[in-house]
Amino acid sequence: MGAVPVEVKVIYRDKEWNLKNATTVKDVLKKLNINTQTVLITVEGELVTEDHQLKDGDVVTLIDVVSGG
Amino acid sequence: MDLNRWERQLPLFKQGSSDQKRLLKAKITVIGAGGLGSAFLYYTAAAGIGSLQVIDYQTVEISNLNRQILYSHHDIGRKKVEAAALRLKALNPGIKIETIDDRLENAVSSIERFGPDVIVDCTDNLESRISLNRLCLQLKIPFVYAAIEGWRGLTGAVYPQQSSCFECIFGDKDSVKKVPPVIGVTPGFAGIIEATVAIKMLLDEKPLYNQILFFDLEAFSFKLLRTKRKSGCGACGG
Repeated sequence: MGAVPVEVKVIYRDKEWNLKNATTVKDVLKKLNINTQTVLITVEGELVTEDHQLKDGDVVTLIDVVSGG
Repeated sequence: MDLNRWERQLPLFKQGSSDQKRLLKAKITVIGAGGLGSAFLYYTAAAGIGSLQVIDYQTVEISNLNRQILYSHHDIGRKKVEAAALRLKALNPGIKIETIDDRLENAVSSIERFGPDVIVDCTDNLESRISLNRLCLQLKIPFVYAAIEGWRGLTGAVYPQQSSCFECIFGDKDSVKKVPPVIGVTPGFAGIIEATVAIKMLLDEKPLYNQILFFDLEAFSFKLLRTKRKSGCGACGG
């Protein structure tokens, strides 16, 4: 019996995607061509690094980094 | 000691007037007296924080006045720390204000001598926050930071060797290279949250412990996100 396919929802700015076979956040960023240095990554309300392992049904929210003052 | 000035806030404190007296003895170092610093300094001076050390090297420009509410039109061309001290003293003559008209890198020994209970970032760039985060970790002093751009912003806190630090979260991020657009309410909101966090820290609470508050005033969205120490963090060790 094979591994259960991972499908996650990704929210960034005003857009949403359902991505299949993205097992880490790094996969998500690569599929959407987003530079990890420009966003903060949250999964289910917790900030995570790009190596974070995703589970089926996870909601990944990307937030643009702000640095001004 | 006459506490009439603070009679409306005393009921909010667990220890009432003795907590107010603690605030009156407290010291905060603030780096940056711009948009974030204007709001932060006004509200901490009003709340009765006894000693404020204000560090900034810039002069007031007309383009500051949409958001840097410590200053008036007649302050244009004046050093920010001078104008800030006058305004804050006018609000509350009882507080002590030490000003340093210099860059952060030249003010480190002055910060150590001042001996703040809390250090607060009101700067406008990632690099200064990284320097301040490291200084606070080294001195074991709690740190409050904020950042804004446009209608959006965030505020966080660092409890050295306990919570996630600034670099655990932002150590691998890029600073915005261009000057971002900003409307005064955004740094004002973030600065007020910073003031709230600092006041609570001085009363032995731990606001925003392993948390960051993100806000978007365009969408009216407010999110409290959980953070954790990053294993192998270059600043705190994780």
